[in-house]
Amino acid sequence: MSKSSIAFNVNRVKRQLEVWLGKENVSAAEVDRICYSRDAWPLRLIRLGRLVLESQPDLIVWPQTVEQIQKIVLLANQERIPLIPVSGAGGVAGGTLAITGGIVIDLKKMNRVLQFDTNSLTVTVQPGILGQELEEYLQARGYTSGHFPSSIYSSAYGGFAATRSAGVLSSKYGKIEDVITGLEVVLPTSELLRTKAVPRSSMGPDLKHLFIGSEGAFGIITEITLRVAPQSQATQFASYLFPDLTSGMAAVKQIFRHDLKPALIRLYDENETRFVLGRFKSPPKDACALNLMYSATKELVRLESRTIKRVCIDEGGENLGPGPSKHWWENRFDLYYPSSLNMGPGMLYDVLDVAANYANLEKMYWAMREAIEATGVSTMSHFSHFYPDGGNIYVIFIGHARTPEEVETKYEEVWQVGLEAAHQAGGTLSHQHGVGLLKAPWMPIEHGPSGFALLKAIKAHLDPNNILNPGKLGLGEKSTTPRKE
Amino acid sequence: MTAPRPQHLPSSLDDYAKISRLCSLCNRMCRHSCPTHLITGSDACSPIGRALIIELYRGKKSALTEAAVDRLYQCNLCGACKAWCKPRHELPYIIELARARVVKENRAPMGVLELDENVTASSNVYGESHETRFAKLEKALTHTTKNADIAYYVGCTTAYRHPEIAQATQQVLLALDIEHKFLSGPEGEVCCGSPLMRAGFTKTAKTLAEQNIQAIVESNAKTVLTTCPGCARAFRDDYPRLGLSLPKKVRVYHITEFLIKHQKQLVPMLNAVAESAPTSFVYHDPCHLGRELGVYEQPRQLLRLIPNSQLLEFLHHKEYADCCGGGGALPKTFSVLTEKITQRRLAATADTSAEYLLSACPNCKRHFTATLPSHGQTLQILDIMEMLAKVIKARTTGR
Ligand SMILES: Cc1cc2nc3c(=O)[nH]c(=O)nc-3n(C[C@H](O)[C@H](O)[C@H](O)COP(=O)(O)OP(=O)(O)OC[C@H]3O[C@@H](n4cnc5c(N)ncnc54)[C@H](O)[C@@H]3O)c2cc1C
Ligand code: SF4
Repeated sequence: MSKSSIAFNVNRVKRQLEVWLGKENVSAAEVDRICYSRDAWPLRLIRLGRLVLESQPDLIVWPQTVEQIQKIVLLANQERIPLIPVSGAGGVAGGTLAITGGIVIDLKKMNRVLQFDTNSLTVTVQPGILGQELEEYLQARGYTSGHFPSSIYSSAYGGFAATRSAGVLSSKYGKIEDVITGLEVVLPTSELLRTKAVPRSSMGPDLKHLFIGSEGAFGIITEITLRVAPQSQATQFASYLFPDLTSGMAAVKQIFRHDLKPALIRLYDENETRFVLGRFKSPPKDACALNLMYSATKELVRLESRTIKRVCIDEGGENLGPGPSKHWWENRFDLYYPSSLNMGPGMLYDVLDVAANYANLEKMYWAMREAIEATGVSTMSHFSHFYPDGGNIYVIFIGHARTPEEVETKYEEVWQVGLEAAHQAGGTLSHQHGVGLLKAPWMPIEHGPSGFALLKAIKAHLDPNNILNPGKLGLGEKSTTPRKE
Repeated sequence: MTAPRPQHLPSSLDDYAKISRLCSLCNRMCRHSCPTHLITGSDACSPIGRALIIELYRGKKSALTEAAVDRLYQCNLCGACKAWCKPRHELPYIIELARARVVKENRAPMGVLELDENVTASSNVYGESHETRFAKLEKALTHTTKNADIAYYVGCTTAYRHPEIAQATQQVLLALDIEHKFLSGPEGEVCCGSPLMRAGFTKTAKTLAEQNIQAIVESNAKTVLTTCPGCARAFRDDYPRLGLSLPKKVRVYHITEFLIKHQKQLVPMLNAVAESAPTSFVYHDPCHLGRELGVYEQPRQLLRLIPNSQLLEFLHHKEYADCCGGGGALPKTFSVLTEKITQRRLAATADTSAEYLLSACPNCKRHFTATLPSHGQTLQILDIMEMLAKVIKARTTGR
């Protein structure tokens, strides 16, 4: 019998699934279930580092066709079994944790490019294709997805769509919701829904947006059509150092007001500036670095480079040349490898990713920093996605506590005070990382009583048996912490 | 760039606790390069999953169940993960140590037990009679020189399955007037032990290492050549790890490392007849030769010497090359997985539109040729030595 809080006959269901999918595509083995009890949520990793076993699914399946998924969904409805869609399992909010047991549907065997339309510049893919896999496919043909999240190695397009992800070159290429033109979704009651892959439509609300960001709670995304772009003709890096955050932010605003959208635009706070400039320069107190990358036609790169240089110098920026920005680009994954620094015993770390209008952005930064640092952890932050009207903040925190219990208490406290400060400052509580379990309790606060009630009503309508990813997005399940085995 | 090779690595799993722990918590930064993960789609069947299985075992949270042992043996130890790992974690080596623990606990899968039995009984991985090791090379033996300083260590796969590689190697050596001998006597070469090291049978590997070292010492050879990167790695890396070594004066080379020193003499020999049709080949980096021994350039330099030819590259090449599927004793335990990995690499060959797929390893050739028919591709698969011998022969015979 499964240890899940939702009881079902695992052996019987397994046998049925094996008939449909083949034995090699179904597993109930303990080691497999443990390996699927984590995504990249730092709290789960902190616990796993202590070998805390929790949130294991009862079964894992690897479907290869949409029909197989539909059959699984029907069966899950009949037997009331939770289903958790997984694409890359590189999410950072616990979105794939099986808090009530159930079946993980790992989509990695559905990783093909279905169609590449070089006339319309769109590509249609299955959800399990990793960011890197699609990028290699496109680059070999002279194109690019333009979607470069730092999880390009670990995350897949199903997950990108389901969490509204944003790549580091998003100011030029757009976020995932800007490039998705069409979706195919298996609904929680097993019907197939396809939205037309068209540039735009005004036939009422655009249904694909109900599923982009729905984190597996509203349906299983089985096909995605995306805009792609030709590879850029020219690329150039630039870095500037501003006396303080305000002047750096002023330069960013001016860049957007000049109608320019450099592919990369990252403004660092004073703490991260020291880290980013490293061997290049020891910056004065309060100074903030801005890293830029221009990637376009030669003419446009020249224009961006010239105009932005003038804007930055006008705002008090010092030209540091291309070095720091290029260095960052070439080493941008370094921070994401495991190290004793953040994974050592007693360590706690994570990232708060929030966003606000320019009117609130700086205020929000200071309020969050003050609140978070008051808990005794250190922070460093950057602003890495900008818009004409505002931007995000990526607050990295790292700290230490004496006992595992204190680690978790402090971790929760940081999130509590950090998100509270962001909310009070008028920001959204996630710009790109999504909700999962981590931010589930904040959903009513983010959306307000009527907004959240609407989301709950949509969930109840789409998923009457509460099969799909219960507990994520704060919907369908009370428990918001990982399940103890 | 290859990582500096660690010498005399500590041999206990616990000595590596820090690395296996960190890998088990990794943001899956190398998973996309793991061929076994890409085929199975399973997170347990990935570098991160295997590290977690090792951690669970070390932390006494989970026993070495059948599934855990399977996941450990589903690794083909190709080392692709290392190329993507910024901190350069030697995870494949840790997996080997875990396998040694599996063997110690008598939980090794059937396929690898058979490997150990074969080698123990007949000194070769195929379980064939040791007396017939050089049976397919009898003619070649007649061209050897008893007192030569150079010994060509042939290895099991070349001797029993691909003698044509040894014959081609000899043709090139003879064309260069390089005197050489085989370690063919009754006390001559035995399996190098590499497959056993990979599978966790360190004890058997050590016995073989001692026999080979003795054979080399008694032969008085100063240079040992191999055409098998696994054998070269065994002599250079595994034997020191087992606390054994060849005498200091003896140098072991993969044939491509050796031949590149003779490139001046090779140039005129490779100058194929003028009317020969242009050829294109893609070179597949064997995992042991590339990622383990850092030999990427020498085979390419040799191939570039062939006139009227085009050396093509896979998208994933050199340090990032995908495995042929035959590594880590995988074919012994999970042959279907092996075949699918081989098919993947063959499919990537089609993207290059090369006429020839060349490797510098008899095992790669074995897996590519075995899988090609089911893949339905028209492609010629040769070892680099066969290609060189073919061109030299065309020059001398005018064809
Ligand atoms: C090293 C690292 C760097 C990161 N950098 C970035 C970054 O730069 N930008 C950014 O936006 N994010 C980043 N993230 C976060 C993460 O990569 C994104 O949230 C990503 O979109 C998750 O994709 P995935 O395939 O890993 O999803 P998963 O973890 O598999 O799933 C995430 C959620 O989506 C649901 N889901 C997955 N597939 C489907 C599907 N087919 N249908 C329906 N629901 C589905 C799951 O149930 C879960 O709730 C980073 C994460 C890591 C580990
Ligand atoms: S080898 Fe490196 S990249 Fe791979 S799991 Fe370990 S730390 Fe991560």
